[in-house]
Amino acid sequence: MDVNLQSLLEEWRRTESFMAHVTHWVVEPASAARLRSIPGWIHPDVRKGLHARGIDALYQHQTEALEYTRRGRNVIVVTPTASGKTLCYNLPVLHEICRDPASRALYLFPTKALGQDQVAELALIVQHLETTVHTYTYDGDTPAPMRRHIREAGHVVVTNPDMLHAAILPHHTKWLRLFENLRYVVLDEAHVYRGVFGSHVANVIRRLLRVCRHYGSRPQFILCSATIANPAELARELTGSEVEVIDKSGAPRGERHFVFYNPPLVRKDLGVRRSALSEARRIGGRLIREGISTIAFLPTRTQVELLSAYWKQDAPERLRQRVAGYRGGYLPGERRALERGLRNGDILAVASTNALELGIDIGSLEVSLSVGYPGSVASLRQQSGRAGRRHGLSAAVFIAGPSALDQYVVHHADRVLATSPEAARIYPENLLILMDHLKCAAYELPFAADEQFGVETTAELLAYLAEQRVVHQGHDGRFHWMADSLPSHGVSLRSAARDNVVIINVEGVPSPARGLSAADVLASAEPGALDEAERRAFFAGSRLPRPQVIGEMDRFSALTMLHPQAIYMHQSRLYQVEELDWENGKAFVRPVAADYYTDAELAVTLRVLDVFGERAQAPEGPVHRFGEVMVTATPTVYKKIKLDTHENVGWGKIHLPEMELHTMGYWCAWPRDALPFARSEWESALRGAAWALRHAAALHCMCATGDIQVAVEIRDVLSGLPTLYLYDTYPGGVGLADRVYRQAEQVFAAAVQMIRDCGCEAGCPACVGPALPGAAGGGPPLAAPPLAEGASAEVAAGGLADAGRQTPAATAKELALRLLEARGVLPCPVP
Amino acid sequence: MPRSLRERIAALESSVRQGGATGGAVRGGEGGFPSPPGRLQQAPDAQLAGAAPAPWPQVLAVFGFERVDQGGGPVWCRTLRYDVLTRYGRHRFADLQRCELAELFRAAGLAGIRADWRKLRFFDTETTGLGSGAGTFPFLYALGQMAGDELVIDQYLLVDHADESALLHTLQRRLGGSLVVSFNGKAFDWPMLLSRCAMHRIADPPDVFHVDLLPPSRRLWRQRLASVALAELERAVLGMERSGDLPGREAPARYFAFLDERNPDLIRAVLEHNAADVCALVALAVRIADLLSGRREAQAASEHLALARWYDEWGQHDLAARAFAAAAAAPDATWSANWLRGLHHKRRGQWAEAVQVWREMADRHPWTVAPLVELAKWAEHHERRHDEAEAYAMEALRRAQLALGRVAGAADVVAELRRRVERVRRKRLRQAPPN
Repeated sequence: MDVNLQSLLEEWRRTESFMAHVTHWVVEPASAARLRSIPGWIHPDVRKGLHARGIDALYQHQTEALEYTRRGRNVIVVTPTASGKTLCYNLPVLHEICRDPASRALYLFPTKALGQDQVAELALIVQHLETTVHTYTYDGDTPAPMRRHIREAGHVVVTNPDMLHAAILPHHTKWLRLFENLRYVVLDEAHVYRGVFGSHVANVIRRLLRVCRHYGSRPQFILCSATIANPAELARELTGSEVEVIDKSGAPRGERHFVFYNPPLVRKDLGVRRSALSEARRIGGRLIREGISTIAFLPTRTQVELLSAYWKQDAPERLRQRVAGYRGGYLPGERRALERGLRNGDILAVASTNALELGIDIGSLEVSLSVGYPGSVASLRQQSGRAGRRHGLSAAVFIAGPSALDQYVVHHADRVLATSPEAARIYPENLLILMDHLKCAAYELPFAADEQFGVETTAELLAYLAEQRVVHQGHDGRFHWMADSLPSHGVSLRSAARDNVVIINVEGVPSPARGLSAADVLASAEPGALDEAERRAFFAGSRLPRPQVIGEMDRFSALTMLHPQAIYMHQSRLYQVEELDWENGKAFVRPVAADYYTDAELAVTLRVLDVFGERAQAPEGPVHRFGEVMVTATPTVYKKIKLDTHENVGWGKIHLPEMELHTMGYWCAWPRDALPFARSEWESALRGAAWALRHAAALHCMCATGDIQVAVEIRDVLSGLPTLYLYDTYPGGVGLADRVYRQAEQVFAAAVQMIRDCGCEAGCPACVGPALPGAAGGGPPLAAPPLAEGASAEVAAGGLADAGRQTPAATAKELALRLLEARGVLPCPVP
Repeated sequence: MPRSLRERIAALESSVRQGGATGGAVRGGEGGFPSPPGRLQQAPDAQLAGAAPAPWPQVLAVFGFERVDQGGGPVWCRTLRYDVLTRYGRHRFADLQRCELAELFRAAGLAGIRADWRKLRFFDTETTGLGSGAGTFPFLYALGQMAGDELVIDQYLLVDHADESALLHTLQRRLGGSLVVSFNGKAFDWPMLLSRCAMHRIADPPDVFHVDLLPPSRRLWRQRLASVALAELERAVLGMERSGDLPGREAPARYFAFLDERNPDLIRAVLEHNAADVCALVALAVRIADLLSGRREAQAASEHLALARWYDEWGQHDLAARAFAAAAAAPDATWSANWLRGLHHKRRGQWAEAVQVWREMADRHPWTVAPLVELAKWAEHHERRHDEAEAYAMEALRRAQLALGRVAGAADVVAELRRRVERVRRKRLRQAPPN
């Protein structure tokens, strides 16, 4: 099979029309295995089990993990996919259980399916042991009669953080046996525990350790992670203790090709490219015809269905049954069958969401296609790791989408591959998250007066809870839970997603005008049910028009992008928002043939509550600050803007409620004379710079762009200066603004690079955001005042001031760059 | 100006509640935040505004609580004493000393345990919530026992968590080796106690046998009563009406408020409710034992039937037969009372009695099918009178066909009866003299 891939890669290399769009092609040579003998001290039973599985030697990183854990250290193993990470924790755990059958271990996986996979894998070794080792998954599907047995007898309990948080820790007295004898806690796929989810998990671990201390156990941690920049830091923050890093893989690798592909521009002025999906259809179709096993990763479930349908349609008859889609929303049995098909080669090509990104065993495939940037370099690596495991040739192809981030990645493949996997950051000290878990912890065990829960201010927080009469201080000084409620019940570890707006395409579904509202149609359909319906429609071959979820958006962005009548662009199609069900977080959209897009005005008021830090690089240069902010946002009006000419062709009012957000912000203020800008130029520069900074910050902080928002003030209420704000969209902040503040230079540099790299001439929606009519560098000057009366006067005045000056109109691109590169008076370099 | 941590949390929590998942901000203007769950409304900072709260000894003395050490450490305890001749509904506590406890124990699955009334501990708790997690705990334990000519109820109240360990040690000593009687205690109160012990690393009370009155009560009275809650049994079975009783679910809120305000009026109803529950436990145990031993005649068909099933299980066939007969004869006898009686006779091989029951049922209920099927089986297999068997089966088939389309599963019954009719007809023809 390698022959096919080899000749195809050679063919691509020779084809100019293909190579014209390849920005990078990197070859990673094959590497040999570094083997070590199984340490002599390993329990003979485990050694026998390994022999029975045909394992006579271990990879170097596996023996390292054994040696560290034997010395009582915590470890994090950061080696590539398919390097045998699982043994790094299974071996120490089995050794310990064989040594002392009372020992217990807890395995945490981010998803249920992964846990079940690992139980199966562990069972393969366990069946050869003389010692009886009971391994059980404990999750929502575990039947009640089994639960009691698992609590008593499970040596290895496999679960997920959500179950630990909601079902195990609050009932720890039923898990006495486990907590008294817990030796190892395993966190696999630890890089997933980042951002809000990771911050929650770190607090769940704090709770776990409290309970362990109570029962007299002190478990060691073994973590596994995809490649990230800061494994030691992440592991320390998750577990609260020092962790040894093992990052040199001893596993062999076959030759790997990394191909970065940027779809051709179709509209240079707007920076519009051919869609990544249709490129994936074409490239994947070719791979399938050549019989090369392929996996494509797509950002949404809908696209998974689309691509697999395209592939089926394009594939020769004999291969059609060997093409499949895989995503959340499929039934477990169906998923297992697909995984089996992939492992044994029955399935040749699969289109998947990131559901297959994590370590579910699907064997090794030859080619991976990442269609669009999955949001982080770690994810991208993880996806490319799905192709080419230990032996043989493989290729990973990244097909860029139109966004600035995608474009940055496709142009800086070298950086992506070589130097900087992102750091996985968590911020367990977010006050909201911390308080939630402090309550859970108090419910589980009373707090000693001087006990610390992650932060030094624990006593103050407990005093607050006592004031709220949720805890009560006994005469021994300890704080006891004192409420008729289960605090873990109201806390979801993955709560970042709860407040999104789901975007639903109601194409072909009767419109409200015909007497039935889209909301009626969907009234009974939960998101899951919808998926199921969608799936059936696809599999049954009947394409009845059904509402389809095509995406989701955070509420803040939804205010301006999904208001009624807004034009929503999705996968190079235009949709109009028919209805926004704000309360239930649903936006109903319908494809339209419009020649305009909409741009909404959001009246954002930022109130600085407290300044935590302040610094300037140079006198008279921009000043960077960081602190606590209150953001109030109200959408006001939207403009309809013609696609080609950027003419303003109409406007409307938006009636949506005000949103309030209490969070952490970073802001940068420029002295007004730092740059010789007119008012409208300032506006354009600030907006463009803000757009680029938001994306650069998301890349830098390894978070979704939705986690960060920006706002600009030409004349800030506080200082009167041009100011650019960037803030965490999670209430209380998760350390993003903080990080941007501390590393502003790097983020600014990345933003500058993004704008420069953009293929457009004057600034396009990808690099500096939607054009601003009426502002400098936007569309042509407008004859009529563009907006509602109040706003128009100001803009017009700005325009007049511009006209009076003789400066040639700078482009939005130039303006944003000049602002980002403004340094103030730098100290004179000594010659 | 730097803000205090306290201010930040308060602002954060309120902003989240306002704009969070509930969408409160969206609806807007619907009024303030919901008060914390399970909490009585009270003036903010009542404690700060008013005088310092009264010391606990003074507050608890109102109810006669004293600080005692019964070997586990100091705890708050009060003792209520009732003369054994006190009536509780239709029973006196003294009845406990002469009732057939062994019968009650057998019904609770504890046959063979020496049921000494001196070792009985009537056990009930009030908890801070209905959950079973580690943060829910009993704040009031009651232990009732017969001592001399008194029913003595000890109530242990927790007003300071620091006392819990001592309290659990006390209970562990007092409950060890006893016969615990509870209502729904096997599912709730007892596991809760064990969970608290586990948390405090205290061993479970040793050698305890547990009689939970809920399962036998269900058997006896579920048919007749809307609910088998203790209060309902008390009213409908024991003939005792409590006045001004506190609904159990309000207890946690009362308790929390009491801890804050130390106002005895807040906890009084909880204490009374708890003590009354223990008294009801005593009376209920007597009632069940008396029914089982025949000291008290069962009233309703459903009671007779429950007794009959116990006797049947225990192999006391004469008693069972009598109870089945009584159930069938009761004015409120139902179809199933007769049916179970018929089956009982069938199992015992008492065909004449069984056939009589079935015939009566078939006559009395013109829609019933099952007794006719039994009669057909009896005629075919036992009597070998196939013409008679065919007649019963035909009648059963006719009735079953009427139910078609109206009763789920009727089609299966009809099909099965057709086969039966066919079979007995073939047998009859073979058997009939060839003329």
